[in-house]
Amino acid sequence: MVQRRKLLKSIPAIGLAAGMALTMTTQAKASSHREAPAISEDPVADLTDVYAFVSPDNAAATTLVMNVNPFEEPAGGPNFHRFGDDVLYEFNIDNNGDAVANIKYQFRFKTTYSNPATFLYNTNQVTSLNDPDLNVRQTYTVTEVKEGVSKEIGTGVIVAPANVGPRSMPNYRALADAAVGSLENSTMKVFAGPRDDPFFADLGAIFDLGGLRPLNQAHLIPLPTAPGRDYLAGFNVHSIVLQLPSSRITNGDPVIGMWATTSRRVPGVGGAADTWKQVARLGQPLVNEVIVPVGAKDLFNSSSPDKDLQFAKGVLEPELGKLIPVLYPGVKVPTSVSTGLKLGGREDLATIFLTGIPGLNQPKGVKPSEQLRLNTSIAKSAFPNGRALSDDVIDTALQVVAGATDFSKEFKVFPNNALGDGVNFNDREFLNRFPYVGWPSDGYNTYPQPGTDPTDNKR
Amino acid sequence: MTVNEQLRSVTSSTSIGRLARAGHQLHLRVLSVTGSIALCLLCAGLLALTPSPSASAATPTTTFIAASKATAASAQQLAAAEQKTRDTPTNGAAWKDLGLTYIRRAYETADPAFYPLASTALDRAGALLKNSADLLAARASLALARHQFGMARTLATSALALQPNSFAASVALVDATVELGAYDEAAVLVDRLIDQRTGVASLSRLSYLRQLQGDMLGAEAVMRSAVAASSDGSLDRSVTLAYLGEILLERGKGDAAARAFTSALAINPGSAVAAMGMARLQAGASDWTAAAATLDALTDRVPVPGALGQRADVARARHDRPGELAADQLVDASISLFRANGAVVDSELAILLADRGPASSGPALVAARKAYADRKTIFTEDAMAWALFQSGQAKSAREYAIRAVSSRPAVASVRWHAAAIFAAVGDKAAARTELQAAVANRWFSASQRPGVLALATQLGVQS
Repeated sequence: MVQRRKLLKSIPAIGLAAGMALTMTTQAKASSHREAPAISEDPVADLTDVYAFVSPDNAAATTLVMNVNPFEEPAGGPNFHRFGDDVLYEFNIDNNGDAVANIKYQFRFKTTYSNPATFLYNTNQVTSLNDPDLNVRQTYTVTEVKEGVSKEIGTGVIVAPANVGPRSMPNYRALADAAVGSLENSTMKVFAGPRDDPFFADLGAIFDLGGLRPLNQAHLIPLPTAPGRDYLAGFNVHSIVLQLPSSRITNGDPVIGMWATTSRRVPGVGGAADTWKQVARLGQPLVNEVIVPVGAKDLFNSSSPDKDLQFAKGVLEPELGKLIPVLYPGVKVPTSVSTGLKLGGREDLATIFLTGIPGLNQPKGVKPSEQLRLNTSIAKSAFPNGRALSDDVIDTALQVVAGATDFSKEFKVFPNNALGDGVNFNDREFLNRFPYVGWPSDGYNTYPQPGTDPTDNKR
Repeated sequence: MTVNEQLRSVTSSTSIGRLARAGHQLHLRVLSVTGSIALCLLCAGLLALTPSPSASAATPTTTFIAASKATAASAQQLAAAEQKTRDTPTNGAAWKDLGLTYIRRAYETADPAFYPLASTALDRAGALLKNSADLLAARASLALARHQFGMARTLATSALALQPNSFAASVALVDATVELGAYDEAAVLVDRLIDQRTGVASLSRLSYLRQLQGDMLGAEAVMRSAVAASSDGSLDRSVTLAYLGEILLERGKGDAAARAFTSALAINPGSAVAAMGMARLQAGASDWTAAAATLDALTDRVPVPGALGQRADVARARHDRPGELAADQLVDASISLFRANGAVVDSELAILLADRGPASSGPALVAARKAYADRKTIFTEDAMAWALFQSGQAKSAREYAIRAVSSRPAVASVRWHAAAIFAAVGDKAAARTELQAAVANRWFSASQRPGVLALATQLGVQS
């Protein structure tokens, strides 16, 4: 069973309830009458991570990234991986702190086949995006929705193909670069296609009762200390990357909040108009995993930020905060930190997760809600001010929950400020230019075996 | 090929031998898994009914189902789940997972012997766990699998009382509500399910409900969305494609249906729904040999009553009396096996028996009455109507037929039964309406097709 990899998501489940639902519980009937699946995966609509940062090579431009399709194997033949034609992908931007999106960027995909008679992804070497030997091709439209008014700003943009291997795609990088689209008189760039998964984490240890290999001796059930292993190494994701002038998305205040959503199409009765139903929502790399209780995941994924107060208890009394002292006896975690919000409990977490930090990334007159908040006037973004590709959010998450921040300096001490999974950087390099996310591994050379090759990330 | 040659090929020993093998499968399952005396009596009967020369050659097969990648993975999961309960026998969650895995294997292999195993595993889980929402939802799934829909609804409701957001329990509640015939209530619940999680599980159920409410376009569009929401190459993709094929048959789109069934079988060669759909198309094209072979290959692996009944239907259409009898006996044996493992199958049995004609209408009516006493649904009303009609009671049948078609369900067999009944009591207008709804699906029953065409001619319905 593939463990969905939203980070830390399952710690409470493992620690307390134990065991996950089957990936596909088939609701079965005795005869041939009617059976349908109950619980199943929807990887193309499954948001793995979201990033927002001031572009390292252009301080006036903001870059937004959403990734979908967890654990995408490079050798994905014969179909290879794609975006969902029936899925609406959106970046949502709140530029006045009221927890409602003022601007959205929407992406809709369409698959076409050069030759429907073959099952092959490509029928010979692919040397350009228009090469007829590339059999399966996806294109997409980009729509900007500003205060409810839609404007199509890109059509027929080509999705970068799968990196099949050196025979099929001898110069893959040129192909992928050619898939970078230019929009709005070259003021915006867009990319969609497979990339190396920029996320890195020791999922194997974390899902085994919150294990952190470097701290194995301190665990309730001690094991020999060991370096962390990156369980995402060698896997790709499907990325949508959008770069645009920060002035286009800000509204006086340089601080924006953003989150990504995916929605599925539900056709109307008798062929009437479709509706879209949100199936996934992701902003900060923590809240959906650490804060929202397992039983409320569906609710969170279908909810909007303006109703986030329903999740406030999870922030103020975090499950993970209670778990850390149990799993790591001797580690003390604060139960109450005041930041003046007058809510009680972990107001430090409420500030970091729900309002943004005053003087850094808190919008004026903020309505608390879970968004990835970015101050676009600060050249170097680092979580929790936005999120850069290289940010080690697992370690940050653990330390933040353990109280090792300036909000509670008495907890900003060892071991709270040293909590970490021992995987501190990605297995592949990031690009110093758009689309920044690393090149995707190819199907011929890559055989991702999570955790079996801990040559990287030993620090 | 001449008609005689075709007939010979249908009645050849190969074909009978394959049926014998299906019987052998049933026999093995009874012996190896349940081992009760009553069931072994059933086995003896089975052995007696399979005297073909190739029966002895049909040695026990070790794999019940096609070794597709997806189903092989699921067999591995079962082994792992069993191992986990051996390693940690006091882990209630492990027993619960094992129970769920048995239920899924029962579905994939059509082997009802997994039901008691699932029940035992869930009992073990119950003794170790508090009555958790997860466990109640798992018990609801098992009840659904056994067609104990009232119990399934009670269990799912209890699960939701403990955990209102439990998706598994919400799904079980929708299924139970649909199967109990509370369609309006189910419509509200399925909308809620869509809001909760728009995906394969909710969309495929919405599609079915729309089909039962006569919205064929909506049913097709939603099932296409369900296909799109499933992972490439997954069992879910296979299942939804097979259902899409069934809907396309109802819409009279044979070629598109064939493509859907073919794609479903490419992922899971053991897909009963897809194989039965292919066999319908083959029989519809008068390719009787292919239809029989498709069903024989399927029932070799998964001897489900519906597929065996369809095999009998093909034989009946060809006036192949021995083939029909052999298949009918396997239907009976399969039904007995499901019953012996706690499943309720009266509704299905009533239709299968009534399809055999007036001679079987007595037992058909008994089964139909039991099903109807259990729940009032389109299908139990249809079972009553069809069984009454076949036993010569068209007037009594009419009342049930009116109810069965009141929501204009896009299910050709139900509409055809109503058409035949309305025509028999002289209500030509109603018969014409029903027949018009039934004729597009030229594949629902090979043996009923001549009757459909004759009535169409008589009533002036274009077919």
